[in-house]
Amino acid sequence: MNRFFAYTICLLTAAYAHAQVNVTGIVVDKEANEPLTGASVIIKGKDGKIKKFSSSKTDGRFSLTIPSVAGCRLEVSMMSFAKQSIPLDLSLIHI
Amino acid sequence: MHLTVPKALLVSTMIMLAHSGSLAGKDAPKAEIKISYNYRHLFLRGSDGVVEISNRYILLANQKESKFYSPQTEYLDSLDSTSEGRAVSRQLMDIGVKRYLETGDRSAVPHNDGDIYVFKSIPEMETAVYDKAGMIEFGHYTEPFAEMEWAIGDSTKNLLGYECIMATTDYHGRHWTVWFTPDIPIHDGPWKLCGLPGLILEANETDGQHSFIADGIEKSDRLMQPVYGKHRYEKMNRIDMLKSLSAYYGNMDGAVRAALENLPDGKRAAISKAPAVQPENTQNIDLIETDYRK
Repeated sequence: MNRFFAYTICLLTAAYAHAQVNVTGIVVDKEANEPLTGASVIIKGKDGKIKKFSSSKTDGRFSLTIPSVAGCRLEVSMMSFAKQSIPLDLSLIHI
Repeated sequence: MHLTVPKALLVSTMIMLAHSGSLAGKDAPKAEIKISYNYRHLFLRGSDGVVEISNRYILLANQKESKFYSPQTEYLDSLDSTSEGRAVSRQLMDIGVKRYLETGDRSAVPHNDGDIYVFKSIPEMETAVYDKAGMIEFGHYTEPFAEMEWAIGDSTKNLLGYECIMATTDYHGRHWTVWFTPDIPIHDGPWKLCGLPGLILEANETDGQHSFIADGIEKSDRLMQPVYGKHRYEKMNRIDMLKSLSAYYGNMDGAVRAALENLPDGKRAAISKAPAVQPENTQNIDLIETDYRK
């Protein structure tokens, strides 16, 4: 199955050491182009351990807050769908 | 140069998932997965004292909703919901009682296994429960998912071939330790337990009186039927329901005796045995939720 996915990440850098990072997004069925409810959304640290988790709501949206995204990955999974894993490292900026 | 920065960093993404299999039907609540659980619990059964009871439960789930129920109980409830079914039920009871009188085998008499039905809905973010509330009373209530907050631990173990992570919560008077697997990404589990980023395969409360362990997982497209005989279940406050159930269990012999002394046709059954002595509850055996005692 074609695992192509599209995403947009906007990163705003901050000088404050104690700034929280809000990670928000929308989970969408690539074929039907419809939001997906109940997708499992996990932020894993460098050590592979779960730092924060949530699930996508009725409109497909999710929102998580963590102290730092350095070395973290965002994993989104749902039964019958291919799992997606995205690096959240601050050193990567895509526009 | 003074740099004005926002208080929060914003990382915004749109994740598109590639479909890898067939979707569940839109019209009927069809499951995608079926998990069988063994619910083991300690129970103070009148004059018998502390007994260990084992019930078989099934969790049917898809990405939006789930149903946790005892298939044996549901079979008997389904029979009672039609006149033809009630005739079959009476026949089964006659055969079972006859066998019991001949062989002493109590299991031959048709009986409910576990009594609880639990329906969870992600779109509504709530759990609906249907359960016993007394000897012949039944009740139902709903509660929001938010009442359960989890702390994920570091320990891991393998269950049924799945790597599981430990998590704990304090929920309605008991401290629960569970093992969930992110490899099965449904936020569900046995009974009312849910809200972790993976299926809960094992759950134990600290006093060792109630535990759930999964012993089988398979794909399934079974329909998640609603409860049979919904009219039997009175809308109740959860705490009142627990108090009522606890009072009944605390005096089961007395409740049966009272029923036999007040039969619907006005007769009184002859009771030759003296009232049983209720043993002391030295182990503090209690219901799966104990916050009704506050």
